[in-house]
Amino acid sequence: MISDLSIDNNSPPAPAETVSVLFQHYAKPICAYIHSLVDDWELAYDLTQETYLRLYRTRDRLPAVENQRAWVYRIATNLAINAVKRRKRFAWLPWSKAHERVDFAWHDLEATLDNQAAVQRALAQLAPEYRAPLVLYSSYDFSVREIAEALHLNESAVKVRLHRARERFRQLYAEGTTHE
Amino acid sequence: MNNHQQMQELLAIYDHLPADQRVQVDDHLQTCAECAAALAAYRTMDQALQQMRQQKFNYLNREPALLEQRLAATQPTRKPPLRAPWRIGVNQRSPLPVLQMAGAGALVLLLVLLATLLIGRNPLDTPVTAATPTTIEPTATVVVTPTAPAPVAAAPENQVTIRFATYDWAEAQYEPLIATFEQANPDVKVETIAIQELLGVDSYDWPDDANEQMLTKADVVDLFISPRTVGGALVRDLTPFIAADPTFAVADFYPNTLSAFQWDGGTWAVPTSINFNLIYYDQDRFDEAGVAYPQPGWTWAEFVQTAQAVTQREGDEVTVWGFVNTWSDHLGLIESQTGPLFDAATTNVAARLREPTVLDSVQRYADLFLQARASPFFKPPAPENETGFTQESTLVELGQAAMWSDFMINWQWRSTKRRIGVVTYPVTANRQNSTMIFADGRTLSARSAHPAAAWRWLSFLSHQGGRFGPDFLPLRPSLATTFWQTLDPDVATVMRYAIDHSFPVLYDRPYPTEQALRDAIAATLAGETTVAAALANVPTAAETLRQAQLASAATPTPPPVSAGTATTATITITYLIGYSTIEIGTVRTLAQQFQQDHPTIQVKVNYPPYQETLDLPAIAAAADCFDWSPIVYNPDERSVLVNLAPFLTGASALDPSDFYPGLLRQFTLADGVWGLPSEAKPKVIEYNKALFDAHGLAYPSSTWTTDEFVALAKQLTHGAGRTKQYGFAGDFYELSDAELFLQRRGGSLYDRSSNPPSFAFDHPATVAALQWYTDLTRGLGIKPLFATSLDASNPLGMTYAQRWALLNSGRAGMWTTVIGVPNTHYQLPAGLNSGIVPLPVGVDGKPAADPMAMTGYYIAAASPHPQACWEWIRFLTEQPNAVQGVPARRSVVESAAYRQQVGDGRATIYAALLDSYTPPADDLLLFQHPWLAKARPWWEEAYTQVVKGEATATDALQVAQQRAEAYRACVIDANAFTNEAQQQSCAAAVGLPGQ
Repeated sequence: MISDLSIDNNSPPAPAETVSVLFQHYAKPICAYIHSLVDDWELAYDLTQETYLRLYRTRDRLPAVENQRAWVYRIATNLAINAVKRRKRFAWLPWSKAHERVDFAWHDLEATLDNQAAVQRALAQLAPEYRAPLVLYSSYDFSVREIAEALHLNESAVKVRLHRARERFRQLYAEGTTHE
Repeated sequence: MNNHQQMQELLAIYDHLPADQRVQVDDHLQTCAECAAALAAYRTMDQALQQMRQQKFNYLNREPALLEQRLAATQPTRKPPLRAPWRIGVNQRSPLPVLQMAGAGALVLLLVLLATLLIGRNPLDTPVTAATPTTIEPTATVVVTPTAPAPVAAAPENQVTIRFATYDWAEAQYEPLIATFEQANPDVKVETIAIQELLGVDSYDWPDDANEQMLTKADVVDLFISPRTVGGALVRDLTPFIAADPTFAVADFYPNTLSAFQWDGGTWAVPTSINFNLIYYDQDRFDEAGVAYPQPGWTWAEFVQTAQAVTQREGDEVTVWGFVNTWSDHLGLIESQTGPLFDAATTNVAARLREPTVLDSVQRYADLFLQARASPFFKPPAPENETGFTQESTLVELGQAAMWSDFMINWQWRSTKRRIGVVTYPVTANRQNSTMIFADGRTLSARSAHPAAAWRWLSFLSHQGGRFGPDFLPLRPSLATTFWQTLDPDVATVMRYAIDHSFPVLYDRPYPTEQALRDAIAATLAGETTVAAALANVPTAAETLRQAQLASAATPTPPPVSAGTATTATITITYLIGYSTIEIGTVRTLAQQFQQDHPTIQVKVNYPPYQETLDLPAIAAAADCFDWSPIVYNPDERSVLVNLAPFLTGASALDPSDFYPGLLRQFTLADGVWGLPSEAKPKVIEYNKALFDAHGLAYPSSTWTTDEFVALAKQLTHGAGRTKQYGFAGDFYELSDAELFLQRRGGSLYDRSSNPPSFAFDHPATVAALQWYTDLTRGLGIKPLFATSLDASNPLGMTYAQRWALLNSGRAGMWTTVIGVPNTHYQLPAGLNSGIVPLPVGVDGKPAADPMAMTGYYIAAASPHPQACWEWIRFLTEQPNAVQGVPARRSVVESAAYRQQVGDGRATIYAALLDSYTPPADDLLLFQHPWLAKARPWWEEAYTQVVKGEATATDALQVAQQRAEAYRACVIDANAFTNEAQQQSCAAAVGLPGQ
């Protein structure tokens, strides 16, 4: 019976609807990542859901997407940055009490590594355009190339942003400043 | 830039530097103390951010429910659809509309509440066997909190095992708690069991004796209880345990939580978390109307006055309603004024309905609709039309409500969408407590053989904080510090006021009376009867419902198949649902059917283990067989699969010609057949038959052309503005449909005649096709404009809601739909009589090759039971209900069972679509030349400009073509066909939209 089968060595890929599975892989890390950017669990859940929806709508492109991780993170980043900007319109980080000073000197950081709230606060004060590459690089082990793909930037721009993000983060942490 | 500056920039990516640059930096570090310090700081920074990530993961592991449920709402097939629990028959409880208020932002609660509803069926149709309570011998056991775990000890000989029944999606979150508890209580072992598994059901459509079953088979149950549950002697009074447990801290509960479960001198459950109603308001709407924001303690008169003041009208049409009862919870708002009409102390609801205060409250509420006309009333849909999302909730989503009712847990979700405030329900002169507190609890079975141990577990859990996530207020003030700290101060003030002015509400209510009361209120709001007459009729109506319920209950129904049925199976195989969107319960039911014919094979059905990267090898390692996408072109990936070719010729062979050839080809390579196709999901056009009939139009045929499509759409288009009826509502991502029609009009995005291929954006046929499609919106006005890109500038959720609002209100003649992709957020009303037809044929009169999602079954190479797996997947391919899309086998699609399931007409269309399926040429081209896809943003930009009237099709596509060609030239020059980073650089160098 096998001989009746039409064997096609050049069979094209099926139009992939890998979204369900793909997103199952990424749901948790994406949610954690978005939370790093927006510092708000409910919003992170919401944006994770929205990321799925957008991923679903772009499913026809997935076969052509080599780096699906970058693709997913790109969608999530756009959503998160946009959400942060919208929220900024009327209140900057209303849930994070960003007005509270973070009085840690930089040299104390190592001793206060467990103080994740302080880390999140410093991160939250970083402009979203810098926050995203720093989190992807430092927390998610993205290469510069992957970040470029995820954020729709060229690699040079990523390097510049990472450098500035690191310096700004360092400064924010050291100064406990509340202003961007 | 000097060398030091360059080095500083490189330090930021030190760990990812290529070796040659690393050497340069290292050299610089030898002489630059500043850089060395910076690098040390960056490393510490990386550690901190890594830890932060891990903490977030830990949080999500501990509290997975909110994320999972949110995703379940979006990806409905991972969980029972929302629709299912609302499907009610005459013998089933009506869902409390109040439960709907949980909404999309609080699906966890919704599901829990639903569960409660379905558990709490009327005892009249569920004779309960009263258990003889065992003697309670509470022990003064010290309940140890997780912060002080005892050393691990070997399990003592007298270790007892208690069974804890909870929801399947919540099991994982209890695992760390159990570990901590068992560490501190080595004489107790806690076993969790999913309620669904315990009941032998796969959804929330639970049997009438669910309470009894659960409390018979488990010691501790996540359960909502009522006086009727207690009356059935199913649960144990916890009072003696509480009295003997010095750690329990009775005073450390919010008002109306623990006390909600206290009556008849007993305490019947321990609350786990609380929730309550608030009124939300859109501050922009208030500002537009110049109305002051409401404050807690406002009166009903002020509420009505405010609702009228913020209502906006255009002529006779209301464009913004003053108040929208989001989940049609009319009874809830009335009870906020009257106090609970159903509670542990209410023995005669009918008597309460005659009280003047109740009559007055219902009348005042009706006046809000009928006199003030500040609130919209929608007749409750028939049970079979329930979607879980009300028309009122759509108004809220669309921003057409100035105030609306909702649960407090939805605050953060709502606040991300617009500028809102919250306020408590209004009060009356005699009643200041207007906030209904909903508490859920855990119960101890009266039949538990180990009540003392079970109590220790119960008490331990009561100290563990919020059950569902950060938005739920934990039941104990001592656990709620973080909750309040992270809340906006103004919102916190309102919520504290609400708690201080609250009263408890029970979920479990006598169905006939409650439903009769809801019907009476609905009739009043519809203006069909007076309040007095409607309420007076409640007892009669309730009795009628009760009789119908009893009659229905008398009809024997087959008992549910127990998941725990003893088996004689000698082989157990694990089947994982990796890719399909089918509900797990359906597959488990099929597995039970399979086992009847194959008694030696037991199939365990599950989802793959949750992990960050689940690929084909990973799922193959965890399963004997599974479903997955048809892409198996990587030889390494195929090595984890069993070649099915020998099975196709073996003793239990099946005829491969029974599969639609285009589908089987997707799983077949020169070296074998690596999977069996299970389903395909084609895209079709669905149309509203009623609208066609009303316009005297014949339904489209399967060979219709694009010109005929336009002609029909024109005739179906009427009106203007907010009530306009459109001939065609496309996909809410515009380009999804645009590209399908582009092919039909002879256009193409790619030029295959070049080598390497090029772009055909500015080809005259493509330009004309784009012009044609965008004219549907701009020139002809027969199609609304939805999202033109998927970037963050699009309010996609809003677009989604708008499209469904259009479809649901019957204002779309035709729309595109993908067969087999369920949607629980929005569903077409069941009463809507729709037909489907393939998309119009192409200019050559032939159907275009459209993308079609597919799934297939695989056997893992490492499985010791390939033959058993083969029998199982072979069985699956024969089942019409094993997939949500179109089955891959002709014999199934043509079977009477399937035709009955989907209808003859649809089955015929599906068969034709699958018969003629050939993979789209563009898909093949992109697979062979993935670098082409990077030019897509320019195509998307051109589409957007044209459909918005910002450029002509010729101009926009010419620009897109120039950029795409420049990109192509760059790729060729750099020989970057396989270098994605270089491709990206090329695209960026040309200039991507928005760059």
